[in-house]
Amino acid sequence: MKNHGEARGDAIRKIAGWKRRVELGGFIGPAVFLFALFVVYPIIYLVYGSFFSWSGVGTMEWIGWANYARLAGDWIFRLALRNEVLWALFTIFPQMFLGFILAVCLNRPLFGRNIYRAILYMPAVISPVVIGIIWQSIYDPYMGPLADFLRSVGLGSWVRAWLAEPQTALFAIIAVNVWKWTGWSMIMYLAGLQGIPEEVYEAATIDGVNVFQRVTKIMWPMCRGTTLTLILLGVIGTLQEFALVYVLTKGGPNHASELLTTHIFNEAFTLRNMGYASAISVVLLIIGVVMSMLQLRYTGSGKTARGVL
Amino acid sequence: MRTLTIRQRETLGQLARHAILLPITLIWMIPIWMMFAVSLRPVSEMFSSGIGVVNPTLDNYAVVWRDNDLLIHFKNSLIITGSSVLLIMILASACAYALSFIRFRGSSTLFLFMLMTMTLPVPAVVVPLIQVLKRLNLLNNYLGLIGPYVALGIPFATVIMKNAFDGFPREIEEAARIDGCSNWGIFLRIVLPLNKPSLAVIAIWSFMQTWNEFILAMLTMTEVVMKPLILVPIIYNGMYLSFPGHLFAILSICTVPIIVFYLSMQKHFVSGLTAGAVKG
Repeated sequence: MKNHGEARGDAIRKIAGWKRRVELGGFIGPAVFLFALFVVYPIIYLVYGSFFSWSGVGTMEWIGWANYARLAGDWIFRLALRNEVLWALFTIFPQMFLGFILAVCLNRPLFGRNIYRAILYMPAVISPVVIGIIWQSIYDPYMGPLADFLRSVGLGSWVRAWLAEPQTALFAIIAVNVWKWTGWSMIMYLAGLQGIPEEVYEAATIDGVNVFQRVTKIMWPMCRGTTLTLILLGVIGTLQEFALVYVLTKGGPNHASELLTTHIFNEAFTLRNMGYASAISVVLLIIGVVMSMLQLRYTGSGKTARGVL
Repeated sequence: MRTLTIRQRETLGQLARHAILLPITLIWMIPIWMMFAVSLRPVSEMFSSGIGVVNPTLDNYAVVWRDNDLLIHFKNSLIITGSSVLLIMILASACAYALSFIRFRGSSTLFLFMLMTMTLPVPAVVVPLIQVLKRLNLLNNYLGLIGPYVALGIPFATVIMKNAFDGFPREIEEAARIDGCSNWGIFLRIVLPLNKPSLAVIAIWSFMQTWNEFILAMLTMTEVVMKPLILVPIIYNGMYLSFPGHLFAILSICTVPIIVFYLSMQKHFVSGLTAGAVKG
């Protein structure tokens, strides 16, 4: 039998435990609730729904792995996967090199430095819908400024309906994306360049290193971390891309510029194949999670992640 | 070359940098310049090609402002983005405080979940999310966007805030505890005020995410009066096909606030941008 004092101690501990739990609930409760309701539950629902045939209204019919089997034979899905790869390659590398060159030019004090930086980054803050509509008229083969320019320099034969031809549609959108995000790469490289200690340059100057060598042998290799971050975040950005393609081509012509996201959108909200759209979403989600794990493991954000992963 | 002084060399280097920067920056400006130029063209020049404007006029702005209630959409965007940013800041930093300062069972599991969903592609979850919103009767309701935006924003914001809190000197926390300060007291009166820069980072970051979010907004807000600003050009894209001046005036009206905001907060934008990847 416990004596009076011990029982009282238990009670106090119990109350303290409850108080602690209530307090903890106050801190994490609202965040965890919203996270569970709008992130975790939808992901579970997504996986569940990918095993059914359903249209969003009416009943759901269990069809097992049929939606996934369908993926294997879906040429649009394969085309979308190929386009994701092309999109990632032709967005990430041009914007990276251009961003690096711009950052090198802006790394040291220069007249108009802030103006250059402000203008070059500006496209990144503007809504992709607005950007899409502007570029639609830039690409206009009859009255657009790009066609005008090509005609005026005698390259009129190069003019075509860039967004309406299957061979050029995807690359025309990618060019817009590079325009939008180069300033972002530049800012990231500027941050990276600021991290190079002044002594490194001083030592190099004493060794008689010229400007070109300074850029290729010191600045570029010392920004390796930024480069890796840009590649991984670029892939993650590619997987999230939707608005620009939707506004410019809706994935057309004849699916030539289709990405996984536009394919999901068409299957789900145009064709009402919710089950099949869920299966594509699951694939996209898995690629996305793998990419963000890689990003955490191999870049700066890994500092916190390394303990967990 | 050998006869150049250091000063001359410096000038030469600056000229070289301008020679690279100037053409690229001018090309980069063309689309934004063109948006304003076309919006300022009078009807007589409406279909002239090129990117210039001969007789600038504000007629297009007057027409689209008179014919459309653009303020409603601006208000919608402000309500949705403002509430989302505020809630993300409050909920994520409270959650990060618990992860960093209070030991509890399941904390590392929770953190792992957040890390995994930090860069979740929104289009991958729209199918089930729309079903959830439909069942909760939240379509065409501000909460139907605020809820998911906050939930999708919490993981990244929590990770950033937890990083900041993990580096917070424990001596200050212990001193406060000895003085009888509760967790809420430490959080609200000491930890939060001393981590304002990180709060600014997540504020800017979540502002950019929610203000420019498109696919979920399009699917959730089907009634015109509920649509946020980002959807407005879509409504008018077809309607003003024969009046590019009107359409571009709308694009300019949608864009000017964000450009002004960006220019006035440039420093925070830059740190918000690089924090996630470089420092984070």
